[in-house]
Amino acid sequence: MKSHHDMGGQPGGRVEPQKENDPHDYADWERRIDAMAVLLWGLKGTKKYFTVDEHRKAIESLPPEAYDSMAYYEKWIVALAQCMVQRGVVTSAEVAQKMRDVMFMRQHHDLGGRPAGKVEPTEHDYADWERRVDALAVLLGSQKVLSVDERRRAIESLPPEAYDAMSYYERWTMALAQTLIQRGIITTEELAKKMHERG
Amino acid sequence: MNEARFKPGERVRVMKAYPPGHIRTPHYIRGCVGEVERICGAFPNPEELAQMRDGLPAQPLYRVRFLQKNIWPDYAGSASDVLEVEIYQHWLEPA
Amino acid sequence: MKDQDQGKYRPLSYFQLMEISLRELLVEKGILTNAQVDAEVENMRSRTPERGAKVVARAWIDPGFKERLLKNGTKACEELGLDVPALKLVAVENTPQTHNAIVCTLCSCYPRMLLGIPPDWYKSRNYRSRMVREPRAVLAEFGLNLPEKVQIRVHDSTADMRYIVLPMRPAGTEGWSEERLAALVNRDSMIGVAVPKGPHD
Repeated sequence: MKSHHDMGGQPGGRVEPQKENDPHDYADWERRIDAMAVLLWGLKGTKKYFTVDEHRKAIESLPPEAYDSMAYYEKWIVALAQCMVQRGVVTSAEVAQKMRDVMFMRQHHDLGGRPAGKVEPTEHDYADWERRVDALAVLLGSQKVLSVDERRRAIESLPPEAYDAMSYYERWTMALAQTLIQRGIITTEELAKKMHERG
Repeated sequence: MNEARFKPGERVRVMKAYPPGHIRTPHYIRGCVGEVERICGAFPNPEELAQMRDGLPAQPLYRVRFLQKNIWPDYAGSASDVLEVEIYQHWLEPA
Repeated sequence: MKDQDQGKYRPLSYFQLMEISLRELLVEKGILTNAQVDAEVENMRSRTPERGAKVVARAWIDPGFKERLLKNGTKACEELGLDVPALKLVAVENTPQTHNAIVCTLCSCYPRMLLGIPPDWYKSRNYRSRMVREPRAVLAEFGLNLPEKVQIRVHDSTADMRYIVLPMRPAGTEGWSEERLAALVNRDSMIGVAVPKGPHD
């Protein structure tokens, strides 16, 4: 029985040549798929996770309707996913989870269930300035100057790299500043000036 | 305050919604089905408080119990292990 | 004479500078005073896990109190004369069949009014990420290996409630005073990543 991808000699329609001035300029995502495939096949001195032939086989195993209706790199990415799961590079559950996170824009601070490393039971004796930040937050909250949730939102709005790189009380400090400015209790200018004077 | 719609023991589903803003319903629990463990009371809506609004009327808050194996497809623990999460009423629908 | 001459001056970090500046601006604008800030810092220092240990020890010796604690944690704390402003406490009980553990995946919610400031690891990326998904593995990293027949209940502190684990009373402590019992209750057993010390520890 002939496989669906094995097209030589089949009847077909007119070939649509790309116009000279209008080539399919590959999109970045397509180029990245090509790059990932090459790297995972071990062709650039990288570790080989699976072979080109496994990749081809995965494409050939697509149901005919899918094979016909999918674009070239759409087939490639599905094949890559298939090979990665088959070879245990990732699990199906991990891929599903990751796709859900990406599709639905999991916020950076929303960590429950994300893969992570060993919990290091570290503690540190909080510095005076850290205790004062905490005290400021508690006092401003209890005096209803600003709400806990405004502060949390300010922390959550930090760019991911900042969120990751900053310590716990550094994030609190930024969030307090942000929230106070937003509330109009201090202005950016006042804070800049004060930091300049005291720095 | 808004009326409490659900009772302890009732099965509820967490909505599969992904709005922006300050949300206290964790991403991982959305779409999952669990059972109301207790009504915690009613509190101003944190999503609104975060936007410098008063979050009123107060929203009923529930503790909802989920079987871990119903949340994580690859959960490696006992089938009876549970996860209990506080969820605001407007994130819950009957299951 | 030992060389004890170690200077403590360190240049301020950007964030330390910001804290000082925010505080001075708030004081200048009459919103807070330095005395208030200092008092609040002292208040927070005074809140240590010993407060939580008191609650646990009382629950161990007084079944009526324990019942009230499990029903309304905040009222029970107030009954003991503990000042716990704005704390909405839920106490969850460990039994031979069930072990409880607490996490806040979204930030660091913790019963601070009862236990003080949470430890770094409780606020860490790794704890917040993994505790809801693989609690047994995380507990094992803390040295707590629970048999499969023990049910694990993880509580994600996502909203207004705060949690304390009521650990099981260690065997061999019959007739002990409340004070002696409280000394066995460590902070980690009230978070749920450890069990209390034993009578011979």
